[in-house]
Amino acid sequence: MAMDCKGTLDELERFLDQELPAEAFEQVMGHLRSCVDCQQNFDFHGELKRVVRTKAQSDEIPAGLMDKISGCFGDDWVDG
Amino acid sequence: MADRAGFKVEAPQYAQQLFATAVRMTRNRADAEDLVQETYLKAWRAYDRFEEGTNLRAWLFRIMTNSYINRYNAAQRRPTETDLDDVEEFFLYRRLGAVDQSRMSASAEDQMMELFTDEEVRNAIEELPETFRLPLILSDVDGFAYKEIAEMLDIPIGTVMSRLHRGRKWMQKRLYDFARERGLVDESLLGNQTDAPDR
Repeated sequence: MAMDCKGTLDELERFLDQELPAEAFEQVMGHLRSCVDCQQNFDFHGELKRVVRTKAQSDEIPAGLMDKISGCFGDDWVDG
Repeated sequence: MADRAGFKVEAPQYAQQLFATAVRMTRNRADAEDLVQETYLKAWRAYDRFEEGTNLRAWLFRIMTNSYINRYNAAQRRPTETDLDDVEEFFLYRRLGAVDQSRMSASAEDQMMELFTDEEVRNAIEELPETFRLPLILSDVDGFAYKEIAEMLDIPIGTVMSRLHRGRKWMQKRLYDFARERGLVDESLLGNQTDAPDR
């Protein structure tokens, strides 16, 4: 079944989040293969997602945190 | 019997991801460091309840999200939905057509990476009201599935999706503002653009 631009754009987030069921995924893919506008829109948001993840996940951890974490692994969990 | 020796080796490899997420949650490196430490301490003490073979990373993030919500009373805060009401019709994709291409040198794939600084992306997330910030961090930064996020935040999957949708719209508007503040947007090119999607 053919999907139009509106139906495709409505699924943009679930598509990029890899949450679409197989059948709907195929319908979106089918539309994207034939619609350059929607494909560019999807590419843009896919790229934005990658940029956000890369830049929001790159904080350097404070010096000493790894030692503090190791310090958490004591024997005090044995409570009887 | 949980394998504590294995935990000591495996669990610390998620420290950097947990820390980055904790900074986005607490908006503060010192608080984030405390939160990560608390997470490992709780995980170590509760490790007997961890099921071998399930996802250790998701388990650690779940403990941290719970700790954050408890520590900051986050669940008690009322959703500030109205803060985000005005961004529904904003489409960064259309607006960025007005970005001055001559000021960006790199290939198309790298343009967006260059367009926004780390600081801007982090601020755009951290300025989000909490109700929208937590789902967005867990999805866009940490890559968890809707179902996992729904379980971590104890909200229905449909609520996860609607909060993600609105949070992302809001974040995109902030990113656009940052680009404009730095003079990267040529407003004169916006004349024939609208935020209405093609139908």
